[in-house]
Amino acid sequence: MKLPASILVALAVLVGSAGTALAIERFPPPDFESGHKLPTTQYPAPHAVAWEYVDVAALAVALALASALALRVRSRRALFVLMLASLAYFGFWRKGCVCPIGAIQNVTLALADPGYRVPLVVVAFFALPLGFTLVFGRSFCAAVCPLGALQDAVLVRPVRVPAWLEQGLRVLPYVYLGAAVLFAATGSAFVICQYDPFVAIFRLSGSLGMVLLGAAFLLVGLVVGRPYCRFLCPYGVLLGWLSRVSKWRVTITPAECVHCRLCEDACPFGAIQTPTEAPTTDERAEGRRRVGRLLVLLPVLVAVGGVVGWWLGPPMSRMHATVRLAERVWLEEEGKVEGDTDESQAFRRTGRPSEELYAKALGLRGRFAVGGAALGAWVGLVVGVKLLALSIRRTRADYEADRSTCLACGRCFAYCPVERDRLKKRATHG
Amino acid sequence: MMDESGDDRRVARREFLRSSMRGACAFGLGGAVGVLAMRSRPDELVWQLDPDTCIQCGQCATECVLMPSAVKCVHAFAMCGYCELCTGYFEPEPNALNTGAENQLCPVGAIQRSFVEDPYFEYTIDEALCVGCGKCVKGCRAFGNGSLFLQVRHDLCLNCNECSIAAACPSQAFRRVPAAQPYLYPEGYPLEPRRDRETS
Amino acid sequence: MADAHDATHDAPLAAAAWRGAVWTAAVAGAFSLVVAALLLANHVKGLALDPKDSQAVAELKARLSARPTDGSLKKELRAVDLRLRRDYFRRTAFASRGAWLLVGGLAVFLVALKAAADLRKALPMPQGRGPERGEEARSAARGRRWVTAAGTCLGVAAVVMAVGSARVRPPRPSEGHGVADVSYPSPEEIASNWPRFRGPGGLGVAASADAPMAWNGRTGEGIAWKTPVPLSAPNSPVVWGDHVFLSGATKTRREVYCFDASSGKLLWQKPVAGIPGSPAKPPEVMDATGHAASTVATDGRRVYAIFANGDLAAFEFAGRRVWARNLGKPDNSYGHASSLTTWRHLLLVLFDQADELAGKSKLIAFEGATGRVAWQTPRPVGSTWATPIVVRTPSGEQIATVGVPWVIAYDPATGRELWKADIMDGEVAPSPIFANGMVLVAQAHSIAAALRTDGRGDVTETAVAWTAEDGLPDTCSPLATGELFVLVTAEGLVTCYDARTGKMLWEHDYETHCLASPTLVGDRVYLVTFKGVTIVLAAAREFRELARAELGEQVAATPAFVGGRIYIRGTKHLFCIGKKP
Repeated sequence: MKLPASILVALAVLVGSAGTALAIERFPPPDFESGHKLPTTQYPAPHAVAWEYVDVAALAVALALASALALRVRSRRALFVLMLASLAYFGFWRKGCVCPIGAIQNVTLALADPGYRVPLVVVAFFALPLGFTLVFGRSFCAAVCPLGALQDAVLVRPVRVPAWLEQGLRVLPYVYLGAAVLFAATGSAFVICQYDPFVAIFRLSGSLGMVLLGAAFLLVGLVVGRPYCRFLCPYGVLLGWLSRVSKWRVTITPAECVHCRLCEDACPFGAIQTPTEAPTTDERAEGRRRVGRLLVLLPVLVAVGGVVGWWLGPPMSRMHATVRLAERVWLEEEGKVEGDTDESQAFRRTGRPSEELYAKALGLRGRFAVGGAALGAWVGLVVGVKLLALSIRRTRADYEADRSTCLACGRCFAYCPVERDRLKKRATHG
Repeated sequence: MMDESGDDRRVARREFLRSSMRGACAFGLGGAVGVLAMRSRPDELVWQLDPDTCIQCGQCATECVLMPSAVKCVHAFAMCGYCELCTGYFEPEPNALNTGAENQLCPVGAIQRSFVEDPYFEYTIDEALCVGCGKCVKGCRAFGNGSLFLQVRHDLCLNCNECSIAAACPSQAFRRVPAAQPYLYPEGYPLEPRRDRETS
Repeated sequence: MADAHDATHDAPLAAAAWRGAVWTAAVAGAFSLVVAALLLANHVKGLALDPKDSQAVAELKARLSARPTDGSLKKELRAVDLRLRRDYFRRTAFASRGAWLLVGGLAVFLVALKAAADLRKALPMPQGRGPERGEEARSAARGRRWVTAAGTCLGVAAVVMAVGSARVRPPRPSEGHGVADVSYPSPEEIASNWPRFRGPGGLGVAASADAPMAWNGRTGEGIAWKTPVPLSAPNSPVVWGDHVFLSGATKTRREVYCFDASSGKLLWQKPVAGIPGSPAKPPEVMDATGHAASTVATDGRRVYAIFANGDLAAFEFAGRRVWARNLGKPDNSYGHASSLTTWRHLLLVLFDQADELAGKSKLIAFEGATGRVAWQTPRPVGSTWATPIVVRTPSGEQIATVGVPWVIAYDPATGRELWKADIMDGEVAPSPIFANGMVLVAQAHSIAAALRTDGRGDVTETAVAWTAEDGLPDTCSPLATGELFVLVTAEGLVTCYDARTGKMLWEHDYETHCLASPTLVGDRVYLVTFKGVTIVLAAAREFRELARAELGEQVAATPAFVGGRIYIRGTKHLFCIGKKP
């Protein structure tokens, strides 16, 4: 049955202007003679914020437990169980979001943009692990962080990453941190969340690319211990700094080190430092010269980094949707590109002048130039400081867990004969 | 081999440096938390889309990390004209005004059409089927009253820190809203119930 | 996960446990692989069979609209649709269940693998003699090298990114435009020239009442000069000062011409080519329309031309091309024919295409000096072949456009809609005009109407002062004085109404093909038929023919009346009628 032409004409007459975004009442809502009642539209509420505070409490409890288990009780098995519990709760139940790693971005945005008020829960998630780390060391990483827990759970046959490779790759988390802060502060994107490899696994849903990325990380994680934690995690940078100055720390031996060397290959994450000999006078002089050279090189690195970063500002600014839109609209207006996209069409429909858009985009480009310079200087600083750190010799008498990279997983406890001795004594004394 | 007192002095110096750094970090962390607390809010922020900015591009159905999407079509019955020829339900120039698949706009058949009284029909959305593609919304806004609109459903939404749909939305229609008022209504939405007719 | 328990086991028990663990791992691993493969296959299938845009359903729907009563086609469509939908939801359910299965399988796999690894864990056997002297220094040195390498890699990557994107990156929008020329001609200058289709304001009214009434193109009597035009086209002559502008085109060539108004000499002939984005294939146009149906326009500083393939170019009077761009191939069944017009320093292009539902039509304002878009407004209309006019109303200037189904007026400074009326139908080629403060439109198979210009928004119900239905034109634009409203159809029927009331005063059927629009010169109306005969009528309340003149060539374009002379474009030549200089 074809519609009568009158209805078609009525349809044609009813075509609204393409530019309007308002819902016009073209057909007045009816008055029903039969007394028919309109159904109500359901609007389900999100879960109560009280549950979020429960999560904060759970985080605090888990952190306290992890610290106690790593420092006092010194039980790898207990830490493992806690780790699995954290994986289940913070990972698969809470879907790994909001996590302390991503909270860096929210915090940055709150500091940079007065219009964004960060939920208190997110601040707690950001600050609690940092606070505990400052006092007790990186127990968060071992037994609470769901991303770390997932990687730890798949670690089957750890392969040692050579020290030099590790040093080189350890520059990446700093770069990632700087980039994440830059993109969050400019309101472009939360890159930590966008490129979080494991969140698709926690959600059991996601784009094919994200799932494959997670699978790739886990595949690598079968043999390389915690690849994301060691070589990418931006939060790990902050944790590393704070645990360097923490009040208490994980020690391999509960008492004193007997230099038996049994723990040398105990750490899958390369965090055990071997004793070193005191340098000779020549070596010390050589070292001082090197440090001197590097100190002079440091500001140069910072400056070069700053310049390169400033130069990179405009291409990086394309991470921001407004800049991309402005460039597209500009290209269309100049006739350099044919047709239009959903974005430029939607922009034209708002009726706003393109000058306004261009002004916003130029402002953002300016911010990215400054931010890019800061990022570049930061990377230069990091490279310089790392070189310096590798030039300063520490004299160590014992086998120690590296203050900044030890994740407090407790694997090394079982290797230490002094520890075994302590356990045996505890067992016999009831 | 250094003498014991030299060692002790070095260790003590290192400890002093360390504890003063610790104090500084604690101060810094405390200060940061304080500043953040001043710029914070006690409740959560959730994602929602503004129906008046939305251009019904269809990406709500494809970009969400969930499958099917947490964005679904919502029907504001008080705004609906109850037309026999619903332009949100029927294809343009439908073959017939019945529920045949050849006449329907919705690709998953999520809209139910039921007769009320002459000449009015009621259109309800079956949320379990809706995928949030926005085809019905487009038709309703272009030729009808605009009573159909897309919304993020908060019983489904995971509230990701970075919403993939928000990042992809061509008209930047997504924004963070307080969890207490998690829905955004289109212009003309009757926020108070109409007094001249009962709503159940 | 080893804890403080003894590493030595009973050998056979350990071996059996290890075998068991490895077998469990193998089975679980294989299971997980199978589930993963199935999930991947499921996902890939889902990409192809998406109910949201299914080729099969779309094709069936198209076939059904061609044969609406075919019952078996409906059944087939419904079956295909049901299958598609059901499979979609089945796939979604499979994906979520499969994900849990995969997690479970992988968990078992990992546990078994770990158990096996633990069972075979070797005792720590430190190699060598412990850390050697100098090993740390060497390791530190190597570390420094690799950190430097990492830093260098990052630096190089950053530089490559920065350099690589610079080419793609457009320069800052505020750069490169300098101070654009925003000067524009005064109303007096405009009035004393013929700057666009149908003269100043597009009203078809000559400024001077002085124009010849007799000439003969065959004998040359009364003809000042006659110059051949290289490429033929139906667009009308445009005159500014001493220059006469035309454009011409074939399928592959597009050109703009400038003639000297006194001598008729072709001063320059410039191609419009090599524009980025210009389509490789020319559009399909009607033969009578051609590829240069739009009349050029000038603001006294530059002359602008547009062609059927979307090429738009601006030339200085000396012939240098200032800017050119392509607007995209117009989706227009007969060929783009709307002429150009200017307002102050802006060039207005009416770019209507397809039908009103396609949403492709728009009105664009370009800065005349630079070609930058000043504003553009989408229009809810389909293809139009009429040209807009800029009118002066008590409340300000308005751009009046006519399309199907809306007659819309815009603010020329911003492009915002002022008012619109839903009254038109058919295919609009006659352009609107303005008289007595009202916009007058006419279209065959629709109506002729007078619309008030003081409304805002949708004024369909309120703006129409009167309508008329006889003698409606489908090509020639109407003509109005304060008193009279003259319509000419393509078959030569001339109808005259009272411009204030819409009452028909007289009509006369010349029964000859007529494409040029009528022009008012003083108290006379000039009509040029396709045969080339110019008929001069009295602009009066009764029909009175005053004179006729023959050109000896076919004429499709509307003449220009400037400075007491008439410029007529025939199919082959440009004629100047008047006293020889």
